[in-house]
Amino acid sequence: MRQLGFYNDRIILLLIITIVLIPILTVFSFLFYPSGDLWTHLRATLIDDYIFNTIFITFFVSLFTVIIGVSSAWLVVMYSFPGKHIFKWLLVMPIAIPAYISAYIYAGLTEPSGFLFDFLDNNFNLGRELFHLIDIRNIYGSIFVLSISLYPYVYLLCYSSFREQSYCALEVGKSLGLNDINSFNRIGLPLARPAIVAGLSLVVMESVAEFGTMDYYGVATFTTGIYRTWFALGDESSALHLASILLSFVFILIIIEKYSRGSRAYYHSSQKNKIPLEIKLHGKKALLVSLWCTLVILLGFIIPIVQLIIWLLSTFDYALRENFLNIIMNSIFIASISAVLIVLISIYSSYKNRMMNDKFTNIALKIFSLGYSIPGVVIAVGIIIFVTSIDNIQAFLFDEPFYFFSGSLVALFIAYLVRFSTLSLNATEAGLSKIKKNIDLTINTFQLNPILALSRVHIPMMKTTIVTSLILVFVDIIKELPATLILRPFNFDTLAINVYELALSEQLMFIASPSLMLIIIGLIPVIILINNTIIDKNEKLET
Amino acid sequence: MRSSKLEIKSISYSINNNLILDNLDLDILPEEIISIIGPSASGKSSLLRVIAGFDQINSGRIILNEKIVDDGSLFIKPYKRNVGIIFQDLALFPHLTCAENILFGLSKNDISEKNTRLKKLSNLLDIKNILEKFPHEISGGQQQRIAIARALAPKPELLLFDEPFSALDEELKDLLIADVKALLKTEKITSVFVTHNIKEAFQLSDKIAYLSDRRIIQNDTPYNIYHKPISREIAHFCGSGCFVRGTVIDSNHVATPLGKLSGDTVPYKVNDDVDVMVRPDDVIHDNNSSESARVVEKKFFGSDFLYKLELKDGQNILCLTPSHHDHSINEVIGIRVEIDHLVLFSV
Repeated sequence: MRQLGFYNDRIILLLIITIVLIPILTVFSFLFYPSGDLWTHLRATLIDDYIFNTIFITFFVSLFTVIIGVSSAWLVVMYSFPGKHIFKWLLVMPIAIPAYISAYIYAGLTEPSGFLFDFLDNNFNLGRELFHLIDIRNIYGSIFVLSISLYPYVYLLCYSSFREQSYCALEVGKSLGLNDINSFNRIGLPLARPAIVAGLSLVVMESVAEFGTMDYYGVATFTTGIYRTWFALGDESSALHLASILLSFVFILIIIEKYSRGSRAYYHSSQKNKIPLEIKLHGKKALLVSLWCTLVILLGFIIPIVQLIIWLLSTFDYALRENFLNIIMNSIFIASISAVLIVLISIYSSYKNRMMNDKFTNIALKIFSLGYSIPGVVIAVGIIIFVTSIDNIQAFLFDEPFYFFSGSLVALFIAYLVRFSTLSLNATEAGLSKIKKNIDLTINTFQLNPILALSRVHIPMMKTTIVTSLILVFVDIIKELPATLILRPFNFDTLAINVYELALSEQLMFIASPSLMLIIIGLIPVIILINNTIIDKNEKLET
Repeated sequence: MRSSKLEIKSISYSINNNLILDNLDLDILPEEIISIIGPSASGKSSLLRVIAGFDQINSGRIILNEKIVDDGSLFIKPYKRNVGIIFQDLALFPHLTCAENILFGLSKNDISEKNTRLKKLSNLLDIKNILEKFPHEISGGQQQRIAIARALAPKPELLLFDEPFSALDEELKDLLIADVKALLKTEKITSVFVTHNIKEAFQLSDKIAYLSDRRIIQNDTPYNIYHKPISREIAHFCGSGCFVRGTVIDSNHVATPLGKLSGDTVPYKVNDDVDVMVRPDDVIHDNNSSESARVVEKKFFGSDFLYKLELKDGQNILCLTPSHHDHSINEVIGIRVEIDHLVLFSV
């Protein structure tokens, strides 16, 4: 039953998972390897902070994203109120703004001479109290920023879940005498549980991995701790030890997520396109609901965008300089090349898994898709330590070593591969699963090699999936901050790096042009997403 | 097109240590159309898969045209076996036009050869005017024809059909089956059909092989499968029939509540209790007959009534009668049994 090239395919797959596993295993190997005086110092003073802050932030961000996401999804699906049809897709938009950019914007708004500060200062005369009152650069500020940036994950998944369940289960519930609140508590919420868990797990992973916001707000979490220990204090092994603790933490979260999902994936998908009967809200209730949605969208999307536009107007010259074009080109260059390669590798692996479908390829694919939950900082330090050790070996062996990895785009690409292949892998697997198995068998009866079959049949049949995953990976790479910051070659500035460095040097106004650029690029998949999940088919025809 | 002989010699095949086919034998002659029938999950499709070469057998031999294609260790790949396959879901390539679908397996041939082949196939299958359309733009029956044309294009020696007609509606199915049978006969292609629909198998096949309990139990003409089933299971599978308890009187007669039935009773001995198979079409409604039975149920099929009758001793039989004989429940009607030969099973 062995197919031609059976072992070759295994070797290639093994190579791919080795690349993914190297940074993970490298970091893990430091779990039992705490060393040096600095580590003793860290453990005595900072490690408790890292643990406490990371858990504290993650807990409250989860709580707030669930409150915001579930409530607004429920309101938008079940009720009709003024503005509902605009709110339902505007509520997704904050997903296009990377959390760190929101963090910079809110810092700008609340600092002296910022709009909010001036407004309060001029009107309420709070004096020195004001500094304390609206200081956002702290742990509470970071919870605020992450909550308004990450709630769309929960919102989106709950929206689809409520939409699909509403027609059957909820109508039955109502016919059995449940009122609105009871039908939410007893039917809507329990049925949406898998969706909430899925959204929440994304929120948790993102909060744990967040670097930009924590760094700027001076919150001591694992990610900032690793970065500072390595690059400010120069203690690599302590940084790696921290990273290994964070990694264990993440794996525990993955296990909890898998466990809590269990077999209870009761998505209901019958009669998808039926539009549920909405309850029309009047008067105060309608006003209250509209205000709630407006508040969420204002904080998550409109205020940041307006502030950026205001900043852009006063820093327009900066956007026009030649260097900026370079930065854009760098971003597009690395993101597009990486996205194409990552998607190709995903197509190859998921196709092989489909063809062979044995334990080996199944496990290989599982490992391959592990990376998305691992914080960028951890991946980056894992790669850096591996790459420098290769260079050291080279330097030892050769007179003129060729530094292929360190400080080159290759290291950066590997980081992106580890972190973002999950996205494209999920997409290509879903795309392939829609192609009937009998198509493969039919091809088998014709004389056609597998690669030709893939390119003549499978790839054309999943064109949309491939394009979508290309866009998703491309955008995520463009927005990625910590791994790019750590691994980029000298002088290789991308949009995200540009934003980070401008903010670091307190030139907040100037982040407007690169940030808006990032957000505009980030809006592309969001618009696709909105079109596919939020907007009804009949609405699409009208527009 | 060459037609070929397929010999399957005591093959065994298992999936995950689950024995699917056990010591199965089946010979298919050149140009023969054979249907493999049997209960669901009996391994019919698995048999087709190992013939096609999608899976390898554990032991035994599959010999296609005097050439071993699989003996558990040696294994010839599907595309080297020169077989064509048509699936229930057809597996047409949705992104290719019908013509491109048909020519898919001919990538190596030159263009003029391709065109001649396409012309010939589209004439044979009457699909000339849909060649430039996409599969989703044509009807189910037309899709079927495209799938057959695609399988025929590389000139296979053997055609395999996996439940090919079950997605079609009845009327279309009858038409298509007739066309496909004619095509296979004129093209002289050895063909294997897997189906759970006995009516299809009767219409199509030269032979029917009944697969049950991991092996072929009976391989015979459709007529014999229906009238001379070698097991109760096959008898049941091939049509609604009843068994009437009787006693062997001599080597040519059985006494039953339906009267004395004549036919060969070997291997049963005198005074053996036996069950006699009685098909609904064996029982003729005849008011002049001395035997009678009481109507307990009736089903209307348009042209016929199927009556369930109760005999005097309480046994039930079925009777198929033209629908102008309309009787009500509990009415006692005269019946006569016409059986060419006895099909007996031990009690």
